[in-house]
Amino acid sequence: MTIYFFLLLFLNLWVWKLLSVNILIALLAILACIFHKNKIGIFFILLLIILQIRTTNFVPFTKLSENEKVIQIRRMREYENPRIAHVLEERPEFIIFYKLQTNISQALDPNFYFFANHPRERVGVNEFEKFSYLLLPFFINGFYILVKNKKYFLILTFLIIPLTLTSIIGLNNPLGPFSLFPFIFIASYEGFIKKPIFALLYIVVFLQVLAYALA
Amino acid sequence: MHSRKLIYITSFIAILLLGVFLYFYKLGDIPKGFYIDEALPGYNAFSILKTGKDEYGKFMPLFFRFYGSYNQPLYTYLTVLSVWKFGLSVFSVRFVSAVAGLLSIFPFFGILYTSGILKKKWSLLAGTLLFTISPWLILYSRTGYEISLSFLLFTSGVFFAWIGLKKQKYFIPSIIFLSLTTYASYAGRFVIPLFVISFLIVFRKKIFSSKNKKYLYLSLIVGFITQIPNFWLMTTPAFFPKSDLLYSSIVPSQALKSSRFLPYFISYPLSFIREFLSLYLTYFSPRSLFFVGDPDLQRSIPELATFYFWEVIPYAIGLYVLIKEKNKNFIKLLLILFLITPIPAALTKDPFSTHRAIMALLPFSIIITLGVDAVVSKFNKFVNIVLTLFFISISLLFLWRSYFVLMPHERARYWGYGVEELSQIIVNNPDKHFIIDTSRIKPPYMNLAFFTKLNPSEFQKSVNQNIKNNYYTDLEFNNYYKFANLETKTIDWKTDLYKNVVLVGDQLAVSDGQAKEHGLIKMFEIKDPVGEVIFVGYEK
Repeated sequence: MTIYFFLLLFLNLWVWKLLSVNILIALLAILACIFHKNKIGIFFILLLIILQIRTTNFVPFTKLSENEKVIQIRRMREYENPRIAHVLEERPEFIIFYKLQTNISQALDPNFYFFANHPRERVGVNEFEKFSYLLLPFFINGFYILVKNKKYFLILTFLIIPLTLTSIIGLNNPLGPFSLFPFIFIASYEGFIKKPIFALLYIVVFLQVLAYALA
Repeated sequence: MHSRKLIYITSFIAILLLGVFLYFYKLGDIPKGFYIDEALPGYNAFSILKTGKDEYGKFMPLFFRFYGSYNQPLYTYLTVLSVWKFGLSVFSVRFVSAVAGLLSIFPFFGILYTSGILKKKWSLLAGTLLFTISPWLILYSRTGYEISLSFLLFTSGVFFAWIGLKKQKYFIPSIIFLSLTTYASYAGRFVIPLFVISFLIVFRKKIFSSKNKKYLYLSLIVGFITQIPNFWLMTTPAFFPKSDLLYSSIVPSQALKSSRFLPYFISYPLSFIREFLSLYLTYFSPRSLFFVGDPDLQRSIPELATFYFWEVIPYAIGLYVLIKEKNKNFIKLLLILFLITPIPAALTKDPFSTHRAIMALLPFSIIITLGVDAVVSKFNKFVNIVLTLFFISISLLFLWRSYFVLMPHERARYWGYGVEELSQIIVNNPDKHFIIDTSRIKPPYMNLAFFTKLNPSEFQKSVNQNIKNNYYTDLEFNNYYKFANLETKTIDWKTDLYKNVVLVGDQLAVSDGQAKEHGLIKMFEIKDPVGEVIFVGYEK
């Protein structure tokens, strides 16, 4: 672990959000990052996943809000064949499918992680900065390196499982999908060019992002 | 071998026939409504056909002023032919777009076929099929303005540029198509130079080391000559009338925030970079491409994005292939397209603007095909057929649901629905004078002229006669129009109430109190397909 490791780990607003709200979650996230190459790292990520489930406001898929019910009733009238309308708009399987799509779309949006969901900020939601946008190309590079080096188990435990979980339970959590924090950090660190100039750039951009968050 | 070739040809023809159905079925009815950006080329084409002049009385303009947007002319001039053939109708205006969408299957297939990168021939057909049924292409092939036409020309230009690397004589048709693209869409003006420069730089060894450069020089000359109208337009204010779409107002305010910690000369460029990158990234985001689509309700299909949800998997795989094989020539071309096509759209303030980024449809479709190819090469023919049938079936099911069921109902009002019916009421009441309130709606004047089939000579007389003399310098657009028995303006309660007047507006234009106070009687109400009121007409 180099100085760059701790620079990236502690110079991002997400970890400080976690530290300020829930020290246990923050600690687990940090430890998962530190020990990701050891088996104990899996233990930390599993705990994070459990806490993610416990702290997310999960709304059952088939429970429709008033607005969703209005849309559903209206859509039932738009079909010529009421049986097809019933299948596509009222069957629980399809309702679950549509809701899952919404959750997956939010979980897979890189703007959510690197630009505080800008420019698609959600109405009524207090979006917060997570990772610096400067890390994005390094994240992509790191992800590629992990796949190329066949780190499939790491990808499975630190990405696929938390991502699947987030897609099921949704992103209705004031701390965001923190079970994905370790993977984004790990991939970004893996792909980061460990040279002073990039560290300096990272600090400058961090200050910019910090200013936005405090404004 | 012979039977295999026959199967491939038959499959390709089947894809084309599917395209014919998807792009032409109920073309005049779906999307319901008729958007102003369709009415403008439509009516101007009608005007050119009848008088040789546009709506302002300008003879055969190089670029069409419209409402101060100075649109590229190619689509409008081609629409003259379809209006001549089919008459002035919604169908005839959208016809050119549908044909362009269908024809773009050919250069797309050609690019895939000559790429030399696909492992399985099956992927060639699967990729072409996915391209044909892509919601992005279907949406704009059924829209009566220039988007799919510019895409066709761009894709053709890219195809010839690619095969031109082996035989430079193809650079000539390439530059012609690419040059024509700049006369087909606004975004083309910016994408084409970026593409040409990038192409020349990346493939400079191959292009400039060739012993026979006569075709290269000839194509550059052809390119220069065909761009003369654009060069001329650059000397007028009409070249860049859409500057208000840039995010120039957002960046200074963001820079002020970060100047708390950083000097302004650093925070300003950083703010620009952040704003640009955030918008640029939306064009690559799986959320935009496969789940949510364009946030503008007129430029999107309900519950459907630009590609189908399941294509996120081949997209991810295709991206991996893209990085892994980056040294191959075709992948270099693909990388150029992938990175530059969203740039002009990302410089505007609208997130994920699908009509400005239409050229990105090409690289994304190819990347998805690469992903499909990687999967298909792992399985046998039977599994591939089953998988293809399954995913195509669910794609078509959701396409039918979203585009042919939900969209005609839920998006009609965003497509200018109601103006046709309003026009009919106006025509049926020639003794009444209609004032259409334009406070909260897009300019309806062109749709009204279109549906009332107003004689273009009469319309030309109704506009400011100075405009045609200062056509490329007078950018200001006045939403006030008076022709036939109608006016478009903001209602003036002091002067607009007289005998035989009909005040028309949305639900907020005339309140119950105002109607009572001024003795107005509701004459008609026009609703959209979901029952929401679009226009209400009150008469004295």
